[in-house]
Amino acid sequence: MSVTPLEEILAEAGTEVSTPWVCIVWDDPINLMSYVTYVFMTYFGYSKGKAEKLMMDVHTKGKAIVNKGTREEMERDVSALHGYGLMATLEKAV
Amino acid sequence: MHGFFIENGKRWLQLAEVEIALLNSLIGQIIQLLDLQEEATSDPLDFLNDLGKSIARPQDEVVYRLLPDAYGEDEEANSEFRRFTERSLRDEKLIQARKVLAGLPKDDTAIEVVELDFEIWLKTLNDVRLALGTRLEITENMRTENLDPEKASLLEVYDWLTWLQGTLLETK
Repeated sequence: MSVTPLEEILAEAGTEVSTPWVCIVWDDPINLMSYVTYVFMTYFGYSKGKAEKLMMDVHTKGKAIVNKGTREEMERDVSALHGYGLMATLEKAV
Repeated sequence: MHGFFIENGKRWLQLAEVEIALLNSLIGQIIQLLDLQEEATSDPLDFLNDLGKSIARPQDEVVYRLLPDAYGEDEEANSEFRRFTERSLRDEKLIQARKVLAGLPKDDTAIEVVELDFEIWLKTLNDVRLALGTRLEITENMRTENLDPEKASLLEVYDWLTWLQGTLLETK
């Protein structure tokens, strides 16, 4: 009987579980700045300060990472943000 | 007072009749754009087949703006994501738009907008702005002079929607 070494199992599980994904919001010329801030506060529960900083990042840098997590979590965020009409995507964190 | 406002601790909406007619028409157009009824067949189990089908990126730029891709350039992942989420996003937007449409004021007297309806109104007004803004190819520093008359009047409607959404946000 062959036994998979524990390190191998952990290494494999590690790549699956800990590979973080990010949710990115992209700048667009239509969504109001106050609306984007409202969405970040309401959906993510961010403070007004954090929400405004992220909104300004989106506006001035063209995009901002708004959350990190598993692929499933980030897909949920992207879906919800599409519900709000924001331009959101997810990708593997680099 | 016009648009959304707070009075006696409640949120109200007051619009002129011409504005009500305008919203009625704009929201109706969103519903038409998103509603798949026309393509649906009579087989109630068709959605099972739909689940197995890949759904293409919407051809219409406005519909695409309302139902955008989730994975950027990765077409396979985009299609997969769309297969599992597009229908519910469409339905969510349709339900909200129909609810707002049904609750539009009948005349220029103020109506109360309860807290529960705040987000429905906010998201639907945003969808209407996204649709119109995409058609108008709105940019950050759009030149507004020398527009053709049709575009100029649509831009007026767009600016009015921006104002209306702003008054709603201010009631939060």
